[in-house]
Amino acid sequence: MVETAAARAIRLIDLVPYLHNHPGISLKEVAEEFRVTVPEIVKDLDLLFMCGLPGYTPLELIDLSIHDGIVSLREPQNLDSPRRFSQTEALIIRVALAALEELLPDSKRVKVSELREKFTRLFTHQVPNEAIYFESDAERTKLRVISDSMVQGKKLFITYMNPTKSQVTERKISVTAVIPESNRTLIEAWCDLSSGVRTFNLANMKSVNLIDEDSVRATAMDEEANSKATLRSSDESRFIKENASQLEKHGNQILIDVFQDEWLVRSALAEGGDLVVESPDRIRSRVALLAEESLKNYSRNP
Amino acid sequence: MNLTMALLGTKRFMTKSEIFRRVAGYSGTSETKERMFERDKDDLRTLGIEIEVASHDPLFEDEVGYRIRAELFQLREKFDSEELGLVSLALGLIGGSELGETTHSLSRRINSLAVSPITPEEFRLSEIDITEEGLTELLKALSERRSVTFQYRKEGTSKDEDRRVNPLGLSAWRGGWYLVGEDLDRDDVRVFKLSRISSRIDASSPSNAYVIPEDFSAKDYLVMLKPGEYSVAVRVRRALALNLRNLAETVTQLDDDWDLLKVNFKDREQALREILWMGPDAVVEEPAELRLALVESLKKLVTSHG
Repeated sequence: MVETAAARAIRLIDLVPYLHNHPGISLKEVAEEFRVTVPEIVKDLDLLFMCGLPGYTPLELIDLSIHDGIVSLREPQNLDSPRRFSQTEALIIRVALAALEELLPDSKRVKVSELREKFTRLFTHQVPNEAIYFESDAERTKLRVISDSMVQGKKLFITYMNPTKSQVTERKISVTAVIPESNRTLIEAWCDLSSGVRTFNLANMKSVNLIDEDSVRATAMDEEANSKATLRSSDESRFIKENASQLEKHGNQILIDVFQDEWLVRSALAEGGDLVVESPDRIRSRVALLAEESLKNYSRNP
Repeated sequence: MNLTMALLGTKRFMTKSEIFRRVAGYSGTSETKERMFERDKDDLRTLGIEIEVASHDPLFEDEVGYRIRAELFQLREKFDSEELGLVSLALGLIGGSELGETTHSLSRRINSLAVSPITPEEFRLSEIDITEEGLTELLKALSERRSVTFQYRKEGTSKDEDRRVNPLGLSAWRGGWYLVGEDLDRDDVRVFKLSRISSRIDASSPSNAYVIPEDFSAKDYLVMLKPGEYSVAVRVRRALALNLRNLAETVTQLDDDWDLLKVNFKDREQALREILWMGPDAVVEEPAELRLALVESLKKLVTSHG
């Protein structure tokens, strides 16, 4: 492949600030970074050695040396800063930052958002900040991070919104299983915060990030005492359609495993009477209690 | 190389004869030198290096001068190490895509800004695939504000239509890219799904062809992001009802215990479900018909579970 003169010129221009800021780097590393062979880099350096500012006395030349495969650039002359970003390049950075912003936990987002605005202001102010909008396929992206964590045996740092308690918590988890259901995906994992195996709804994970901590091998998974609940409902109800895979039907009665009482209580409330929890009593009476409490709100304040 | 450095190093404009005299590498007859200079100049321009040309000296009007403005050529803006770390992280994210070659060059230049290695972020992110055919061309056209032409196949039709568009914004939404642009034939802002563009995108028209309004927001034009039509005023206990808060247009504090949210739901059914889920922590204020429906449902719940 014949290299164009332009590509080489750009490389020469980029080499100087790069070497300037990487003192003591090896020829091999430089070649890798610039995606060329070591002999080509040596040829580049030989040429740079003869470049400089008008006058071309040793004081005005780029000063560099190679010893034992290590490059030192002592005097970059006026090529000490890297090339400025073109407008297109700056726009690519803005897209990348917009993608990053969406993936990080809330606490980190502000900084990325400010940085994105800075790039807009400095390099591409003709394209307004809001002209780039990024919303990824969040579930797919999160699932990819989760599967990476399982392959690499690393923990995840998640921001989790618990819909029943309306709380947001940050947790470190070690994923043991991904359970896809028709309308939701459940993640089973060892949770450091609660020191036990917990089931998370993927949709409620606001952010998922891989961290450099080995995951907990949850060998002795504590079997949570899962109880069964008996339900009554018409086949058309939303709840029945969404959870079809979880249900066992015995005539008119429908059985479901309960991982979390409150989840079933709230689901029954949301169905507004189309779904009736017949047993266990503790769930049944809690549905009634919350409904009564809610009604009071309306009678007090007609 | 020497020409770049010389033109970059000079504050004032350098004339051609000065360049021939002082910059290393120019030799031979004046004709040869002339040819070399023209070639070098063209090369630099191809590389995107802008050479400023100006009359050098009022006394020698016939001789023009040349220089490269450092602030247009070099990155002089300051970024702290956290910022550099975040840009590196962001570029790493999209490095595997079609934009990979560019992002590699960008990462290298970001790395050339700081002597100390960039602080590693505590998070390791997986690469995401942001590539879609035509994205590179449209990013370039948008950044340089060039009109584009392409063929587009509207949803539900099988025939391609010619479109002339001024790109105003780009948006990724759930794995697909959308171009928001002014359709020059229809005289209206339209949204184009990149996967429905059926031809090559031609962006060979001149740059800076139009101006994007400063308050332009791509989000405003994306139909799928339009808020729901069913508007509800709902009172919720403070610090609770996060899922409703996430949907809320406005939040007003009523007293120590309650906030008032204005939420646009997709329809009445969704509103009913979401508010029932909250139990006694959410109370509908308006509309009245939703209040009635809610009370009905709650009564049913009490009866069936009592």
